[in-house]
Amino acid sequence: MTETKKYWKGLDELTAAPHFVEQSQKEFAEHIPVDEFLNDTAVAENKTHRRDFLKYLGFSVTAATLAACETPVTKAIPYLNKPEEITPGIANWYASTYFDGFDFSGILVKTREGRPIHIKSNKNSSITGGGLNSRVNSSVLELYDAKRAKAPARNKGGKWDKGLNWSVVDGEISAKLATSSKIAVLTGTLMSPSSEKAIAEFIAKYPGAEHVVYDSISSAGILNANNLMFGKSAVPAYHFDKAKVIVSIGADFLANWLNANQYTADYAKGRKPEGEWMSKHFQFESKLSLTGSNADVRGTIKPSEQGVAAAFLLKELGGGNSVPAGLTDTAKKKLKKAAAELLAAGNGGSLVVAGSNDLNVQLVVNAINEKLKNYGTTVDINNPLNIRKGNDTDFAGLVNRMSAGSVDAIIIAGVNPVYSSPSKIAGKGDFKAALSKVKLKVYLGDRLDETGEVSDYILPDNHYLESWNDYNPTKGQYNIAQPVINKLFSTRQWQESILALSGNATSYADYVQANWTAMGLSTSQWYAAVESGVYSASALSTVVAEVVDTKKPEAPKAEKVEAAITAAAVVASSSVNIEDAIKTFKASKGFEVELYVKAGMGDGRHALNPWLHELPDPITKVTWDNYVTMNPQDALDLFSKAGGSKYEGLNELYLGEQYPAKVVEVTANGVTLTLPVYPLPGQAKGTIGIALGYGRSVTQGISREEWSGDLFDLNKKIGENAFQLITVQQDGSFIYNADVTIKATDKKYPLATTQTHHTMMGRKMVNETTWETYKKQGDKAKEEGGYNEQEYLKDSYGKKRKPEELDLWADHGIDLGHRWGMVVDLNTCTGCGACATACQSENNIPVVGKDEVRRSREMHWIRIDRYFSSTVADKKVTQLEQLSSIGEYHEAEVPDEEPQVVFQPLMCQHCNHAPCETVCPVAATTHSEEGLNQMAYNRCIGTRYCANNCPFKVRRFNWFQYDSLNLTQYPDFNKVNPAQDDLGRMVLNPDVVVRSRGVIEKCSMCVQRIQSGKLDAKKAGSPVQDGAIETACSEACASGAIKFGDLNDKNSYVHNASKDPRAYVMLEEVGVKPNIYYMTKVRNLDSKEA
Amino acid sequence: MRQISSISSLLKLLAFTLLFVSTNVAAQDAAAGEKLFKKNCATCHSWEKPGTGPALKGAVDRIAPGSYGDVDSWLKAWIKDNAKLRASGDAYGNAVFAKYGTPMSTFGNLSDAELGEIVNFLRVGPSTPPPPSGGNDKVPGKDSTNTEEGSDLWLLLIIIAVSALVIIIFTGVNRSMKNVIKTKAGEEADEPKSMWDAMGHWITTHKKLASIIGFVVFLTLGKIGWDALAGIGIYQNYTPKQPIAFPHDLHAGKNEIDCKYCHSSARTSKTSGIPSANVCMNCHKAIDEGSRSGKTEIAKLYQYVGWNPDSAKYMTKDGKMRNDTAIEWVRVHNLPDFVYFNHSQHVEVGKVACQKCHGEVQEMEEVKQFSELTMGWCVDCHRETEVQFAGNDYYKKIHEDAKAENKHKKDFKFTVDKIGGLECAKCHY
Repeated sequence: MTETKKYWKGLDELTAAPHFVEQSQKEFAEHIPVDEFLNDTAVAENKTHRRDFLKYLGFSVTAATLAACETPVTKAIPYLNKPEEITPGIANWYASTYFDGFDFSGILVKTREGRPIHIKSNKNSSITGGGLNSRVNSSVLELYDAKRAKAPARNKGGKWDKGLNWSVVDGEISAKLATSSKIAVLTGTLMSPSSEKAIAEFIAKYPGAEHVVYDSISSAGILNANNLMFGKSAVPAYHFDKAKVIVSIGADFLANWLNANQYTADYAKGRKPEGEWMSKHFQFESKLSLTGSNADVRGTIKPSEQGVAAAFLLKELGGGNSVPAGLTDTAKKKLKKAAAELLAAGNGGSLVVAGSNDLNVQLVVNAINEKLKNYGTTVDINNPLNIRKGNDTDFAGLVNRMSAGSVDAIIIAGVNPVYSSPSKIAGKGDFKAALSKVKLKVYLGDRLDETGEVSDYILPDNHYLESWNDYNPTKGQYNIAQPVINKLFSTRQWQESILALSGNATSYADYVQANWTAMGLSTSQWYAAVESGVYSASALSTVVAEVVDTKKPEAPKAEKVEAAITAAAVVASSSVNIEDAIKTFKASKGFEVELYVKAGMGDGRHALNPWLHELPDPITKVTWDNYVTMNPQDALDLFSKAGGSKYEGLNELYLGEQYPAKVVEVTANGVTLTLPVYPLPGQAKGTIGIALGYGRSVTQGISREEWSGDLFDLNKKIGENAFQLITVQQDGSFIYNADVTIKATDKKYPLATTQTHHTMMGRKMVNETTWETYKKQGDKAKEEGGYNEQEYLKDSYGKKRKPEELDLWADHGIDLGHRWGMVVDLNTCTGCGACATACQSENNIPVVGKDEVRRSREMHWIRIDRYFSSTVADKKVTQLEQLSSIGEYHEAEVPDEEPQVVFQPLMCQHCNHAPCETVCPVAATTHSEEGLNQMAYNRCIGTRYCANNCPFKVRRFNWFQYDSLNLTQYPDFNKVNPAQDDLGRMVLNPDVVVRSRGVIEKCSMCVQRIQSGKLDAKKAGSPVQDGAIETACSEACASGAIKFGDLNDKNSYVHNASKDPRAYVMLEEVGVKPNIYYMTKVRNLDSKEA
Repeated sequence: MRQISSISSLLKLLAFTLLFVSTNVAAQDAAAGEKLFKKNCATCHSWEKPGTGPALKGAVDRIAPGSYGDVDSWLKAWIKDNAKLRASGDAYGNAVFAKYGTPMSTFGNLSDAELGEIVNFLRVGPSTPPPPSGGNDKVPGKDSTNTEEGSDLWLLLIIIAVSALVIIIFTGVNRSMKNVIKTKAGEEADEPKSMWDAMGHWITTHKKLASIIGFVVFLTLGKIGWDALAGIGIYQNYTPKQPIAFPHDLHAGKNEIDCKYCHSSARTSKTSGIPSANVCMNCHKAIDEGSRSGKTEIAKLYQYVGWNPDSAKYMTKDGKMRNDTAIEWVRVHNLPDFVYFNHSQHVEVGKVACQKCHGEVQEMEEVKQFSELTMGWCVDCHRETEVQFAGNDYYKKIHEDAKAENKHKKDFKFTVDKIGGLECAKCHY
């Protein structure tokens, strides 16, 4: 019996829950709680008499008329002395670099009249290959955060003297430092030659000082493993583009693991089915990660089994001999398959990575790569990445010394250890307790956060867009960061503070340049490097001294390792015993928690960025919150009532506007967190996942809750701090998983998830196939039985006709001139969401807050639909034609334990026969001759007919004036979005209108960019070149999954791609003729696996 | 990363302007030289006082021609391409450049004869001394151009009101007289009626006339009301008072300075740009006195930028222009925020003259809003205006395709609306 795949977004859809069916029929929620929202009870109680009403009406009409008659006086204030490079109305782009110790990216910053407003990737920066995630492109908003510290401050017994002079604090601190004998400087990974030098200068001034590097998300396991085996405490360069088989054991390398921006771009190169080979990707993990959801084969293991899985794989490959107990049979089967594929890929044709921070796991993984002869091809230890240098053991040692009272003074820069360190370090207390023993605590952070609050001084740091720096991500490669705006507040970048405390009064700008001059760069070469944002030592044939690793590597275990690597005999020649490493693996039996990093929130330093909070998590689609992910079956067992049937049980797990989540208490390592539960298909049984980066004290009061009563109040902070749960090993290293006990409570908590919003009514939107089928069918995909079968309709004579031949409307003339369109490749889309935040930044999309999201009122113009898929028997498919009735099928009712996932970016499809246009009573939405579905906000009267008639559910309605300047009118929106205040509005794009209340809006295909691109071409007197115009989403896409262009241009990428056998348009049978094409997803599976 | 240097663009623009100006000049003597001088050089050079460039009185005596032999050929070479001359290592040229700092634009378009005329002029000097302050220019009366809008309407209303009053008085007098007669005749006098009763009585007795009058009144009031409503938001002829009484008629009219010399970003940007004060100071370092308001208005500019005309220096600590003040010009042409309008599209690509929308600014002492600036006004123009496709490869294919599509139409015009010039998202996004 053949089988058909059915796609569902959440458990509600899978089981066809009544509320889901009801909600999917409505584009907008029925109840409009305007009064409650405005919280104006006086209005509700007050009765207005008819006569009063008429009086008010008369008065307001007259007042409005009179007001309209008055000539508004608008001032136009030119520069007195205009800077040469600024022309009002024209954007300037500056190259810079983003590095915060976690994400790294070469960037280009768009400034308008001196204000940075948008960030895109710098393609000059070879190290990131043009990739940029949402954390980086959202960081421009953080510049305009009015809650940053605005001047130096001194802690006076819990009260802060704010607004001090720099010279005063410098003097006070220098005097105190002079009397301190043991000083510690704690920073994150720097990888900056000039920052290192500044710290060296500080240490020279205060001989008792030491520099400790600490990463909030540590990769010390990798560093130490490579130090043991190769004598290099470094992260090797991984080349995902060269690997025919990729096996990842818990490494989320497409979202958060090391240099994920580069890996995404590289990974996409190997995922093109058109090529000679397509990479096959195996993922073994507990919580369904972004990377795992892109894998061809995904196996579930417990976090503690990562080592076991690695050892099992090594054994299968013929190395090692003992395999510790653990792993399910399915996981073993998949690991065996993976081993077979790895061997088949041949020497150096594969790549195995692991996310664990456990030294032993990394040792085994190194041995596997060695066995597969991947060193030199896909793993390059000779050109390592400097992106992580933090050493957990050093950090634990520092905390021990601090607790013992043997540290007199500490300077903390660029990290927030009070927040982001475990509750028990080396078996003792937390960092905060140890810090209290230090006499002088100086914090060089950007605000009074967790660490700032308990410090003696805060010397506020610049935002990175106000700062200079240089970076050395890898050998011979330098990235320069330059400020793009003058400092907004009286801040000073921390390197300059370090210099000032060392008695060096140079500005850091001069300091960096002087360093480069000393390294041999001429002034013009330096300017060229600043202008392009990168400097490649080899390209300019100038010898630049390499940055020395911050950590002096321990003495190499084998002196000749270097040569041994290429000779591929490392394991044998090194003194490392893999067998010993394997012996340390033991799987636990109870529940385990995996502490992971979310694609939006990262390690928590973006906790005040509302764009990132509102970005739905790629996997769970939850916004604004932290939660426990749990296998639905585990959740059922935990919460099931006695005697309840299975079906009723699933009902308990629904999440929606009226369905708050259940709340559990999770206890690990002596800390108890109370969090809501998100039942996540694909979560390994017996495990839960909790995201790091939440529970920041600075998020107090941001989230707005409408619900009360029996609902659990999370102390009004967003989420809970899961860093406390980290397990610290004997040597001080951090392990991001722990044994936990879980207790169900009867509390409930509202989660704002968008997974069931804008549902596609059970229609088939995604198309997928296997690589085998793809190759076999070739150009015949569109024929009957093909994976991309052409849809036919029957006309009144019963003749089969293509939908495009049957038209209800007259044709729009789209053949003349341009016809803008996009091609979205479902194969390379990883679902990361960088496009959504880039769009938010480009198109002034408001943030609506958690409560509004819960009411399906999120405003994103582009959303990423995430579908789980189940396989259903074919004979029942015919019954599936009605709305989302997958739930009728008991085979599909219980989600697969390892479901497949498809991501589909969805924006306005710009239909050439758009259903929305025909129903607008005021012609506010019309079609352009260039194929755009246009929206004139001014004309819109808010009937919302268009949204009701849109089969793709891409239209958004402004229920309120979200960006209101009037702080008293909607104070709540300024609370949920601190960036909607006066300062935050500086980030708005002046070329795009800020929409008002009561109008519909949607993706415009960045018409402002199209118009300006056309104008550039007209001025140059040449046709528009393919690629000259890019939309915000296509530009942001690291994997190149979204491409924009002119479908009428025969030479354009999109024209040719739209003719590809893989290309299809959504809902072809409806005949709306979209201008957005999708490319069928091709999984690298053989017929048995599929 | 395209950044346009404002100075170089201004210079290019000046050269561009001169291309047109100079070809028309065909004079044969020093007077012609003076004319050329005024057109080309006077924005930066004055006769008596140093400005952006040196004062030219006695220049011919100062110049050390060096390798060029005589002053005439040195001057010709300098005017034609001063950069080239400086590059050749000429000592005097480089010294002058070092002193003034601002590179002079090149005038490759001037013929040798024209250069000769300019040099001749430089020997002779201006034919008439500079006019004393106050000048002999006629200052146009403000009232002559700007009558109070709607005063006619008021006049009409007053006449109507007075007539109505007269009619009422006469009717009252008439009635009293009749009553007096009746009383005298021994009849009973009419009851004194209220005005409304009388009016009602009149209407019932003159039904046809009353309905005609009523209809006319209704139409008149309707028309007035309709016009008033339709005019909401239209500020045609809006003439606000500016912080500095800047006379466009003098700058753009009499002195024939090209619009885009000051509003240079009209060629590159969406805004035409109000010139920054450093552009003003290019000329006004030298010209500290105007022909109309004497020194008062120019002194305001000096106040903003911190310039002392007596010592010819900026009176700031660092000797540079002030940056802590702002000239708050009142914006005359206000488009709503939801309209995207791009000057460069119209000026550069569409080759539309500034005057088409802004009126004859070179004749306006105070700038006023010339056009309605309504959407209907925009759209009308887009329907009529032909696309400037000639020589622009961007339009080549679309023009051919549009022609082919419309070959059956005899009088096909490739107007803006043919390529989507009426579509919403051309201006609203």
